[in-house]
Amino acid sequence: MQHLEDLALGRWFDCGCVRLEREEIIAFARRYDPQPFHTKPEVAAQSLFGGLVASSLHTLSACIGQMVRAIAEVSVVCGLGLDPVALPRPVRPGETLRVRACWVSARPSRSRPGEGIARIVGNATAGESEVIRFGVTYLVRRRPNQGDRP
Amino acid sequence: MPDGITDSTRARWFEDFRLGETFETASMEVTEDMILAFARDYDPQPFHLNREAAERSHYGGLIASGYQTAAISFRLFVDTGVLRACGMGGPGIESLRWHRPVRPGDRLRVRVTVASLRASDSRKDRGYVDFDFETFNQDGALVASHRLHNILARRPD
Repeated sequence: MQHLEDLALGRWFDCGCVRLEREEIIAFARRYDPQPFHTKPEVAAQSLFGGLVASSLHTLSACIGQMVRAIAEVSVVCGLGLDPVALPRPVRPGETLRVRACWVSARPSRSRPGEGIARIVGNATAGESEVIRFGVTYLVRRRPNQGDRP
Repeated sequence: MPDGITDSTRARWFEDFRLGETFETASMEVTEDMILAFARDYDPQPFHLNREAAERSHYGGLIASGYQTAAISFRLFVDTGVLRACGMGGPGIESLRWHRPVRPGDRLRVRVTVASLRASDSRKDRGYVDFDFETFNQDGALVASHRLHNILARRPD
């Protein structure tokens, strides 16, 4: 496992690719974001988007999934928050998103011995353009023998 | 799925929203099956994915992904019908905080407050709104909060 002290700050790493297929876009939206430009291709074609687009929450969740798999070795206690998320453009069916992430800060917690607060930022690109960027804050375990140090 | 939905009967447009206005949603139960399905696809951490591993975790049991809580919160808001005529998508989120875990069987409801409104200068067909989401469980405790940026269509001529 990787602990707070092991996180390589400032180094971007690849989290692999995820492709949002039409069926999955519609299925996600029916459950969580049932607006017609996410669920009904024929209505979406008449909308300002000119066709079906993925829910922002779907794009976010799919990219978070890639990042979570890429940092599975990190000893995460829990997530604390997400801030900010920006989606410069919507994602269309069949687009492949390349996800990358980078730990940007890691510091011991003042109130929780043995744990620390780490922030990771990520983004995804499709073709030449960025489709999302995000930042997540996690509570991460410290190395066992360093738990009581400030 | 939601129950007791309060669908607004008239179409709303950007001009119809007021700063500080609030919307209360219906409630939805979060089941273990929903939690596991979401976690497998989008947030495969042990405390979302596996009951036994979750029992050994910080949380002492299975909890919903925080992204799923945000998604359920948005679903409940969509079901009010407030965005039905005017929704043009949401290009951003800020300050999402997970205050308390959401566990199987919890029933969530949401209060949405209009936090800012700005008509677009360059595109006369739309305006920008910030919605503050507060998600509560069945005990009335705040489980999550965030600010959602949304684009709303203006009333057609």
